[in-house]
Amino acid sequence: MRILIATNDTSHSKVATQYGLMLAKRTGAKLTLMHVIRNLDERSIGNARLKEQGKLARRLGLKADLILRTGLPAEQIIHYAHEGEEDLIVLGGGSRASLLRRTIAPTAERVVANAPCPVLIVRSSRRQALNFLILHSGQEGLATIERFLGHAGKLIRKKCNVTLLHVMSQMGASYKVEDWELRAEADELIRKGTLEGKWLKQGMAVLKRGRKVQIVPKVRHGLVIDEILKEVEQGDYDVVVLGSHRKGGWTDILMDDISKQVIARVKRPVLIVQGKSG
Amino acid sequence: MVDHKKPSFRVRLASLFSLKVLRSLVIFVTSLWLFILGITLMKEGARELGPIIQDVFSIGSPSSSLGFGWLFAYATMSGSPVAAASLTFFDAGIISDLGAFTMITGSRLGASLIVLLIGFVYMLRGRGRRESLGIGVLSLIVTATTYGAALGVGFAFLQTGFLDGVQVGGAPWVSSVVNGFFYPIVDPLTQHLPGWLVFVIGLLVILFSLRLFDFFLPTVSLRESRFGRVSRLVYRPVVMLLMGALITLVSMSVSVSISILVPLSNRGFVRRENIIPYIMGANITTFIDTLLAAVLLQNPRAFTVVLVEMTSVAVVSAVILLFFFRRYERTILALVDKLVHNNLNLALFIAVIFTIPLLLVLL
Repeated sequence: MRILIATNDTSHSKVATQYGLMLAKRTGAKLTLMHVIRNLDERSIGNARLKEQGKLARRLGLKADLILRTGLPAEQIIHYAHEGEEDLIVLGGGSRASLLRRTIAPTAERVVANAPCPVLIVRSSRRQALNFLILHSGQEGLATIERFLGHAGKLIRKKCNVTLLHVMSQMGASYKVEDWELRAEADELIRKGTLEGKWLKQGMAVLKRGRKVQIVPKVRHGLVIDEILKEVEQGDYDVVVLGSHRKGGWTDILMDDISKQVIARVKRPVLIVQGKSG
Repeated sequence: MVDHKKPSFRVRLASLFSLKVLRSLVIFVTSLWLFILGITLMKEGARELGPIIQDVFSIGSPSSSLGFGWLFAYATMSGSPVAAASLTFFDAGIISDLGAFTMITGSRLGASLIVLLIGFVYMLRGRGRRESLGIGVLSLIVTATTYGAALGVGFAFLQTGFLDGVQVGGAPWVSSVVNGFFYPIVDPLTQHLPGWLVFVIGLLVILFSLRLFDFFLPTVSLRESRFGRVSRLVYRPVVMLLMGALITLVSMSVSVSISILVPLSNRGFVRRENIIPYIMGANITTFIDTLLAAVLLQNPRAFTVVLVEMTSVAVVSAVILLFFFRRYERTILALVDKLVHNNLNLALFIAVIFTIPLLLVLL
């Protein structure tokens, strides 16, 4: 596994660096520390920051490649991630996106949209990465889990607890539908083999493959974003994992991207797994 | 020698398809013909109906015509005939342009009741209260909130003459078509029957034409179409608004377009995120048949009134969508949950939606 920790001069970058180093130590991943400066005048500051981060890594017994790049942060990070065949990019999340910032697409959003691997956005300090909340989006949820495990499966180890959550925001619109599905818990849906139950069952099977981890399936009913936020608040999760649409063309225009709202509103580390482009 | 070879599957399918197309075309032309006939009958009947309406219902003020349109739609279980009636009243000088505007608004508020009634039927068949009535109550509340705000916007548009420049209705071909095709039927009726009866016949003809139009819609083929994925995905609100507007534009009825949403979602579910903007879109283009009625009446001001109605609802929906949609969505869904939570809340809600229009008419 290869982890790229990309930083700039914000306080969130420090938090992201510490969290990324902890993950690298735990997984034994090959580590790259990258700092992006806007112009060559900032070179000395950039080098100093990289040295500090290198020291932090050494203190944890980690070897790291130190990379200083000049240019637009998002472009440089994406380019390097492609070049280095990285498995995980760790970024600081910045402050809660204002309307203006959302309009001009901040670095994190651009990286998430174009990165070749999952992106972990760290906004607040967490000491560990043991409790995972994985959001199962339904139709494409299984592919998201597969891609997450393919790149960053080492993050989930023996002591981890995983909650696999699917949010049902449906309302019954025909007398032919089964009412109970709109109130049911995950276990009931799995037992009775409904579509959502099958999705959860398949997701659990993929997550359990070769791992001794505890996986709890969960279903919530309500607006998707609201239920995700409630679950994050109620559960003591260290990392929230979810997929993001990235199909290009009409799909991007038509579909609402829940991941953007989660990035903007969840303060815990959020790991975004991109959909296949095409 | 006669060839007894059976026609190929493709040939049989093609002939079946052309028969279906022909049938749909006949239904469409007949329903349109009946709609124009209904409007013409109502227009003629309304002239004699004026004093009766003014004496019995006293719908002189905009608020009373709002309540009248609302209750009238409850009685007819449909908004379109009532909206058409409001234009014929305006054309006959029974109500003002503002009165016609509020009566059209009332007609749409009343028409939302039908979705709720369908929910009650589901409930009587043994389904849960929440699942049966959720969509109906939601449809009613979304309509009430957007149309309520649109009343103010529309009032301002009418007072300032904002859309007065856009007027259609004086086309000579409309007059010659109506005179040539419909007055040979309408004239004998108006000569031998009282005006109120002609009006009622016109209303029934319009109701029938709209029901007939429903048969024209290819609802069955939608069931297996690729739109089946609609229930499983969360779309951008503006996409759902446009979808609601487009489907209602084609189907010419909110209740039909909401019913269409059910076969669109192949498991009979619709997503909470999708339904509100869809209803908003449907509420904008539902006036398309009223706009047609205004053209047929050849009354340019009536056309402006309908256009103001459409524009004001579109403006209110756009403002909600752009500036506080998520807050609006949460508030409305929470309110719906509370209303269908128990029988008492539901009974109070039903009482309110009947009391308000009654009070508006009486005050």
